[in-house]
Amino acid sequence: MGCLAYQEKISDYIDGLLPIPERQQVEAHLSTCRVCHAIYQDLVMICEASRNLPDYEPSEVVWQRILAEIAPSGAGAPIARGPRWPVRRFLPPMSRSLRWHPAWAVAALLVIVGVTAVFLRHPIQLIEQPAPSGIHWTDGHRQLTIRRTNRIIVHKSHIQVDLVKQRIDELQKRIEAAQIRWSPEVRALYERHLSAINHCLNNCQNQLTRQSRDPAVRDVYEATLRAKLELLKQFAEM
Amino acid sequence: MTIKALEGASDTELVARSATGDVDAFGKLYEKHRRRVYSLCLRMLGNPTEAEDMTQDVFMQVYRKLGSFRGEAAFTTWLHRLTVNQILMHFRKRHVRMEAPTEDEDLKELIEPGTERPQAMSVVDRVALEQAIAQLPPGYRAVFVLHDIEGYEHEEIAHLLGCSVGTSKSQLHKARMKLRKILRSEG
Ligand SMILES: [Zn+2]
Repeated sequence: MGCLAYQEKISDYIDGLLPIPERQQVEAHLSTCRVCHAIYQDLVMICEASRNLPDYEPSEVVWQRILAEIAPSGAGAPIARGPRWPVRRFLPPMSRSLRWHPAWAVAALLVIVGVTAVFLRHPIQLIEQPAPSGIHWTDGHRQLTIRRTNRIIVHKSHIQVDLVKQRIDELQKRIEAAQIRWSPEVRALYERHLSAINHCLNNCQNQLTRQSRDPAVRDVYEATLRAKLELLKQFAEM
Repeated sequence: MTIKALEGASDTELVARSATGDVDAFGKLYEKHRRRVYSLCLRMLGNPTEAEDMTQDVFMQVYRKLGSFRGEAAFTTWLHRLTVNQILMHFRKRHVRMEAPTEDEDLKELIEPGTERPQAMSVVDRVALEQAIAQLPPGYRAVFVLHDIEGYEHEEIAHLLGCSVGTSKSQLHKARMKLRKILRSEG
């Protein structure tokens, strides 16, 4: 038997799966062949190192997404059930004929919160308006608070709009260059999400030009910009 | 039950409470097992984003199937099996090639005498090993992760992957040899 035949048995030898006569043959070969012996030593080391690999921590957004799907809602519907990435669960189509009115605002908020919640890798501070009971959660490390009322949830953390816009421009240029390599499915997915987000942004901008001080619209606008940034980041990496 | 009271609760208790819709209990269950599930997903899939999606899918499955969990089986074993099945189903859906590579590819993993320095590696760096595992072809990776990291026997792996015990053994050996090759080329 040559070296190659012995090498094929090294793993079974290490795992103690060889019958005694074969085991003795392999042992005899390893004691005389430096190449096969080095392979044996390396594989033993790889096996030992593999047994001691650490576990890793998923980001907190995973639990938030699970919670959003399982938590019982007062209205009987889950919150923040946005599209998961890159799973093809599309945003609800928005009709062009829809004018800005409270119901539309609720829908837009849901979309944004969904998108934002999915893309953000940091703990999300969600606050509701108005404010009855919600879900308070501790994951052992820090307190998470996810509250909900009437399914209206606003992502409230102010961003530097100019910086975000600048970054969005940069990412869009990168994506334009990279898009040629995308499959039609990925392109359709990208365009669909982008168009829903742009639609929402346009509505906010129109609204803001009319009532520039409305803080609720401002919040929606900023959250949408952030969602757009996260969307572009994901696609720019493809 | 308050969150504090859940601290010392056993998996069996947490499962029973979760099955009644106790989100805090399910959260505790998640907290206890998330690292294990995520790490398995991460190593099998080789991609953090996919691993997080898979972790979410696994726990959603757990939540839906809590009622069918039989208390006599250890929860960790049940969860582990469910995770592996979910990952393998994902591979199947995506038509990931799990069968052995061709003979030619196989031969590349074998070392002819005199073609390399006969020194063994001095040490295996953990980070380098993780990166090398991520570079394995999915079929090799699955067998390697299940056997060498998760401690499955070849019989179980063969059953899970729908292959023979012999195939599982030879895939494992080739995976180890490939890892060695990657680690040596980097070292
Ligand atoms: Zn030899």
